[in-house]
Amino acid sequence: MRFSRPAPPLDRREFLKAAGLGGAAALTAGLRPLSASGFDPASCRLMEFDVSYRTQIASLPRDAEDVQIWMPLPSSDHAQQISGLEIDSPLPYDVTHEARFGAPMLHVRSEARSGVFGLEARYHVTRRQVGIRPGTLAGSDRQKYLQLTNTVRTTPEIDMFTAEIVGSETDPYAIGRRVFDGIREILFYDSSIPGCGTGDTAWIMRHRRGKCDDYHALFMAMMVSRGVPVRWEQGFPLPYPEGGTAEAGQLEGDCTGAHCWASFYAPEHGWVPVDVSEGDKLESGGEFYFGNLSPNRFQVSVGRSVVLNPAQGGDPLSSFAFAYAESDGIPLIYALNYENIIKYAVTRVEMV
Amino acid sequence: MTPNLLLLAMLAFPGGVAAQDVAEVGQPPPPFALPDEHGEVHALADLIGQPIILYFTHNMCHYCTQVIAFLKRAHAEYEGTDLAIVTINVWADDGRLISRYKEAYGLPFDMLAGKDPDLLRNYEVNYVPIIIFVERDGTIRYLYEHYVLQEDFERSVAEIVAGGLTP
Repeated sequence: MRFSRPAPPLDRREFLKAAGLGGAAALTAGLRPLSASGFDPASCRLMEFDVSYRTQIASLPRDAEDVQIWMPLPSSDHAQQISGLEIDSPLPYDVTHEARFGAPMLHVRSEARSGVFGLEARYHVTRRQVGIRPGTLAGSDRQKYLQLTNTVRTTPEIDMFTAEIVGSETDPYAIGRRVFDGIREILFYDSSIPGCGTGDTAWIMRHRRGKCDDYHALFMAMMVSRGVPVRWEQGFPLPYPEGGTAEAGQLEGDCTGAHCWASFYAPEHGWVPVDVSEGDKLESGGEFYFGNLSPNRFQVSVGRSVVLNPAQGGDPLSSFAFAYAESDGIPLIYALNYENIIKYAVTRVEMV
Repeated sequence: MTPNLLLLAMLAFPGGVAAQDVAEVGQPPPPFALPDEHGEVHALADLIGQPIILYFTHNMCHYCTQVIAFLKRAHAEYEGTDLAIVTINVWADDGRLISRYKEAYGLPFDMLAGKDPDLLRNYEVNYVPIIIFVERDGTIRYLYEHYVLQEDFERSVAEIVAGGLTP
């Protein structure tokens, strides 16, 4: 096994500090982990917060001609209400929708000679604690929740693991519970991993550690391998409102600051939400996060292997939490060519 | 043995990718041949016998680019030696992205297009960056995942250039 690293994994802040990245280190100052040991996630009923999501083009390649930005936009559903949407853009923009799941996004296109520009979306989120959502899944929709990707896949060892913990169980709800527990049994939540993962389930099974992306990629692969539809839900974390209060902060704008969870469909119950990684991290979360989600989060997109609208020139995105930018069909370089600045300010917390 | 221990024991020797197929400290790095920005293919096998730094990155990795500064310093410090620095962008499948990345950071060493399923599997590229130091004897001396501190980077490169002896 490849655990023989020359040194223990480095903490991200330690690295940034050592590398002298004052600006980047400052970015992390307002970031608090989603988990707070000892916090009862069932104790928070509702959170409201204002979000400012800004993408700034800082520089462009010398030969750039056509520049595009796609920014995910949250939508209202049973778990969250989005209100007060305001968009600031010096250029014309479109609100488009991803083809499979209909998630909205903001799209701006510019000629490079227009110079650098920014794009900002501001909105208010009311997010509730949610549980199992009764409903049906039409046969025509079922297939799109049974699709894996080139990284979220089954492997012989995943099949072996699934067979071991699921056995001959065929009830989707019971399968979900066994997979939820089984993953928490074998994976270690490795907070030293900075992010930028692809959800490669082969890597996850070999190393048996990871973060939210890894936990839910494995959950999705195992459930889908048993024919259970899974909905990948991509968003951002906010701190737990310890003491019934929360604060303002800023989220990492590259591949590190997002959070994800999933729901699976069980005909006798409906859509069952799970947050496997929080269920593993949080001492009191093991029961709660099977069938419930805490409100300290907001969702901005659905699905993996995301083809944007209009389609990007690069590969499908592993997931779509962060605004993505290209010029001439080539991905721009994050932090060099563009930056995402995502801020939140909690305005209301309702405890049970 | 409890069921859980039995399961863990089973998983310790998975039936998929064999351990010797992936990059491991003490083992030869998995071979690859990848194109640069001009389409010229570079084979790792051609570098074996030299100290080599392999660096995996992509365009969304903010802090990965800090390692570029370490690599550029090493390139300057060890100019005239046989140290080979090979960077691999795992988002790139042609020369356009590579060309822009190299120009953006002024890379004085090779960057190759690494969007290759075999490469990603053999080097287990789930998270980037990955920094690998290969000795002249063709084995991996150090493999850093996620981050490398500057002092560890500098010590590692000094060791492989010195031939495995601490300078």
